[in-house]
Amino acid sequence: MKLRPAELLLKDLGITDPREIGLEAIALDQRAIVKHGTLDGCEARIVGYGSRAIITVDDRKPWTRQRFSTAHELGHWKHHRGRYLVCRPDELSDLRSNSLDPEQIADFYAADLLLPRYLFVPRAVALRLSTFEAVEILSREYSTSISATAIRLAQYGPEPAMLVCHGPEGRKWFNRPQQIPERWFPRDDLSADSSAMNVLYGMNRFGRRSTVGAEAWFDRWDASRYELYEQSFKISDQEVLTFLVFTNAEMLEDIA
Amino acid sequence: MNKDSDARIKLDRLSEALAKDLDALSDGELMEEIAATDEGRQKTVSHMRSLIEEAIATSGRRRLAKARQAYDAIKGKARAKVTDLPLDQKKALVAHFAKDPQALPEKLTMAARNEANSEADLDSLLQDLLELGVIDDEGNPR
Repeated sequence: MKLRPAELLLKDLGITDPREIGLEAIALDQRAIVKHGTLDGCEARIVGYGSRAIITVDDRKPWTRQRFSTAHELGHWKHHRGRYLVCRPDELSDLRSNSLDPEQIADFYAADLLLPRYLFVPRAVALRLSTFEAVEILSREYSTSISATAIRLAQYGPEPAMLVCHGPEGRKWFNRPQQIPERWFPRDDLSADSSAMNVLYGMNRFGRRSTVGAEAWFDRWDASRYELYEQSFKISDQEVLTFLVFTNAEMLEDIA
Repeated sequence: MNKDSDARIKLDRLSEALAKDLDALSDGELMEEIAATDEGRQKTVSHMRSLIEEAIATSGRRRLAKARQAYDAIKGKARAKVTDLPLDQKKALVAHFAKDPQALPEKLTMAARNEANSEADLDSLLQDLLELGVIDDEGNPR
């Protein structure tokens, strides 16, 4: 596994346990000071001059969100030094589809800094299942949000799993790791056959992992031939995350 | 610098250089080297590797501890005079740097998911520019 910049930094700092990922100290090592204060216009900001920088993070946001924002700004400090990247929210959606989008690059850096693969992968594999029970354990250990941890588990977890986020208006986003072929593109709407519907509108924060026909999630002619595991987790009143675990090897085969 | 710390720095540098050499090898190259030797040598290689990795980790932890101390020392600095300027002047000041960052002697980096619209956001931004040496206490470019 070739380490990426954030992981190399952690290795250089001798970090061998997630509890040692103290962002304020790591930032200072990179000549950036982290301040926790009030910000009205954004969640976080970095101002740098020459080789020094100040990162300000809105302290009214949840602690895990503050950590992600700090790591995100450190990503800008690593990759976009000397650039002016202040944009309005309506400009962000246009940029998001571009892999060279500085925001996306900073997000990837943040994920590597908070959930470095050299620590995360062995731990995730040891938990054996890509479930929200595993996500809760990992998010406590790494002080990361349920969403960020679940995305990481979908990408590097012990099972081939896709993560889908829905709201009352339909699908918001999904994360599909490379091992899952592109033909498996999740439906926009939530099927009544899926337990995600009960979690989104019910009282329980998350449901049990259960088997469901793949057609509940994929609008494809061959979907009815397969089953998969689904498990949903309500991250807010308006959003539900679902792990779709691909249990049938045929689904993972590339079809020309 | 005394003899002990000088020797330690040299040892740290040597450890880092050796570890970088090992890290530069692919898994295949490393296995090839190890396979060509006897079991005793393999044990020595593995022992040396763990010693070197531990030395790097120790040196990194010292670096991190130093950074933590520095952070504690600078927390909670006083408020700057520039924040007492009228709102229009503060906006103009920030707009000036945003419009022409190349005019500064050093590179200015700025990233935020929105422009600073509230006065409180502007104040904290000016405070940052002051602490970084872009402006003086009254808002004049340095």
